[in-house]
Amino acid sequence: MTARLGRQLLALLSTLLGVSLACYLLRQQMPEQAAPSVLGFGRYLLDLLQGQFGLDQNGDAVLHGFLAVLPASLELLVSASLLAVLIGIPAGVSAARRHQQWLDRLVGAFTLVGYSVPVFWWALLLVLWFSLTLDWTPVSGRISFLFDVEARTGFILIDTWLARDAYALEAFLDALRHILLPTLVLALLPMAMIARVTRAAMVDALAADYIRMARGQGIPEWRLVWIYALRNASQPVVAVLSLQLSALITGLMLVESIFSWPGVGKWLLDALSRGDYAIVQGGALLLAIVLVVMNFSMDLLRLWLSPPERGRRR
Amino acid sequence: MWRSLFAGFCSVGLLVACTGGEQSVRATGLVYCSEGSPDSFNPQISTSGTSYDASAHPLYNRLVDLDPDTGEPQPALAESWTVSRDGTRWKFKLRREVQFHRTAWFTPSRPFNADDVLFSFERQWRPRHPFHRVSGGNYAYFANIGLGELLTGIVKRGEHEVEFQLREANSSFLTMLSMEFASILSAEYAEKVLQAGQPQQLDQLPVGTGPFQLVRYDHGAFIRYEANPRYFAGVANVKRLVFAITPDASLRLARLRAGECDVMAQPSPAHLPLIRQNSKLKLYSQPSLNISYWAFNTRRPPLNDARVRQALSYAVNRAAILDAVYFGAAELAKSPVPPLVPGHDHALQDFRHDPARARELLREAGYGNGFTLDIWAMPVSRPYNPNAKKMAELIQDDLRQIGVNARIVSFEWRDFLRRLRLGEHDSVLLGWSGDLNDADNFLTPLLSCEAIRAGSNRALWCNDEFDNLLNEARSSRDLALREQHYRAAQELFKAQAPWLTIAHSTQFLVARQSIQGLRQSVSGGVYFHHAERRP
Repeated sequence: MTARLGRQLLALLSTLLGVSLACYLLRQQMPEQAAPSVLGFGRYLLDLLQGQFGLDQNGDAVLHGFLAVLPASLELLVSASLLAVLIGIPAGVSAARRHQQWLDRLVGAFTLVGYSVPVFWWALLLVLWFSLTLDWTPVSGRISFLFDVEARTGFILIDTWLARDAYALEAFLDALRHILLPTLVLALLPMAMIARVTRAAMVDALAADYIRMARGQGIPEWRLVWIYALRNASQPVVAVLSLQLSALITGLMLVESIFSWPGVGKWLLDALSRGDYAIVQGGALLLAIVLVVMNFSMDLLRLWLSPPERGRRR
Repeated sequence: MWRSLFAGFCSVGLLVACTGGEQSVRATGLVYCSEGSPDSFNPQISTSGTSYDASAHPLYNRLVDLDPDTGEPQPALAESWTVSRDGTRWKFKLRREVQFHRTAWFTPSRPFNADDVLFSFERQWRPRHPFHRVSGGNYAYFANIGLGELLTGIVKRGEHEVEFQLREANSSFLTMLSMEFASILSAEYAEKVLQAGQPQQLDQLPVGTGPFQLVRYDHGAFIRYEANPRYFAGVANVKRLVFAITPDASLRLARLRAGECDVMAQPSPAHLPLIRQNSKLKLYSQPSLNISYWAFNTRRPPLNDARVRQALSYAVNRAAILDAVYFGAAELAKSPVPPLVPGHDHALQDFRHDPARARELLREAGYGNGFTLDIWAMPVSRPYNPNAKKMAELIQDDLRQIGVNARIVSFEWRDFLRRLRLGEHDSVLLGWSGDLNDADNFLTPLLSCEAIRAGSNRALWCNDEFDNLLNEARSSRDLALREQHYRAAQELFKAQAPWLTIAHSTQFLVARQSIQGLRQSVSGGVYFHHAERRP
């Protein structure tokens, strides 16, 4: 286990090094920059280690700007992942239990649609219906302009609760209404993916000998399905999720831009259109770092979920 | 799975239902999707309508206001006034117990008085004033309108009495005092920021007497105001007012339709049919004080010949421009002075669309074989001209009919204006939004010889007779005589044809049906003092 962990850590570090090297080489392509050199790269790395990711056009630290917009992105990412898991897994399990029946086919059709629908089209469709026709949900931002919510954690759903004024509930509900559509849009693809993989893994798991044996021992059916089988089926699901992480981040950029969601994606795209290349470079590097670290934690989660790997500890 | 889906739908229902309550933020708040960021919160140093909407109207008051319907001066910070028989001394009695805003950055210790009036005008007037050079020291309107030369003194006659002394009688003096640049700022606050060594704070963190006070400005994102709880003319119904800065007209409309904003500025003319069809939205319109024109550089041959300029004027089919560029939301302009403005010459002869006459004039001037001409089209959209490029293309087509070959030229906006000032253009499509109901405001800044030096006379046209007519009109107190001078000036303008006047566009504002009590300002902005939300 320790050796495995060490290997993972080493992979993490070398990936980070590669990413920063790529960023460094790109940066040196800009006018008024010296030719790339080993010494220059060393100095660049030293700067990065001290948290110096450059200054934007206004002279503010890029890192600071990134940390200010990161919570908004994470919030959307977490809410979309939660929705995807909360609907995708039960849908996959239910489909597997009624293998080849109508519910299975329905879930199959749904996942096919989820795979095929482009994110931006799905977003526009929802906006057209829920926002522009019904006026139920807003089209942009995280909260109505009327609320002046102090950013303590950066997570608007938490901040509205922390702001203990008379309007906390109203502000919280307003923030919920704002996050609804972006979440639905962003969750669609991973939801379909999870449902599909869960279904396939569960079909196998439910047919396995140990399940039949457990069933013979009189273990209740719900325990059998939701604990024994699902636990074993979850490993491929996590594997797929970690593979899909970068696709999810791409979707996030698109969703942020469509819904004017003030997260990392919109921040980067706005900087690009302003021509603020320090943000584009530093921000992309920071984003890559976040992505690599997240991938690493997904790997750890998979390790923990996989009995043979865990077993080596003893 | 079904249960969770069901729960999901229920929570959507709950979210939709939970937006009410008499005193909720939603019920007492209003969001205005505005078109751009203000450059400052001091209307003395700003010149854009966007800045006035964010500063002069919500934050400040003037000594007098003009009644929006009749154009008559009305008391505001001045309770009453008297004028000496020769029209050169104006005495204003100031309103008592008017409180300045109490904000996070300033707590006033005294109500409004004569010192504030003196401070507000002397900053713009006296080059030695400690604030004169702060924030660039450019007081475009104060200078343009000639108040600096008109004034000989501003005297404090008492705590609540001020006398303005003028060099000569001027019929539009009260109108000038009602303009945005004549907003009254707090002298006490100015003193405080000066002592703190931060004089420019006066223009960025404003303190005024108006119906709303600034809470926070997040650059390029939003401006947050709250109702001034001590407003002398009655506390506003709207407790929280937010300007959501949304430069993209489509996003503005989407936000309005989704209920994210309650009012939006400047809808794109192309969206008007959609807005009219939507029963939840209300379209406000008003013919506005603006003019869009095609100016000829009268210093460049062959445009220095009036016959050539007339020929070009005859060649253009302006009805097609009104359709294609303004989508019908404008009226054909025959004079630089809009028809609403006193002094507009209703009997003025206009150029009709007549290519044959145009060719004849060109032949007379010796350009029977045509020539090549640059048309500069401004790169941005403005209320008076939503699409200068398209307009230029239409004109290019029309000119081809009379054998004139036109090239369309454009630069980045700031560069464009700089080159115009240098007179590098042959002709340019531009416009002007007036801010007061006065013919002089359209003629002097745009067509006088003096305006060439100021850089706002795009035709570089200087005609002594025209200037004399304007001067006589300005100094005459007899209304009929003034109008007569203005009529003569407009006829001269038409005969000399330094511009082809194209359109007076209509100003639009869109609001949700539930919002009442909005009032449009002549310069295209909006007043929120009496606005409220009806359930």
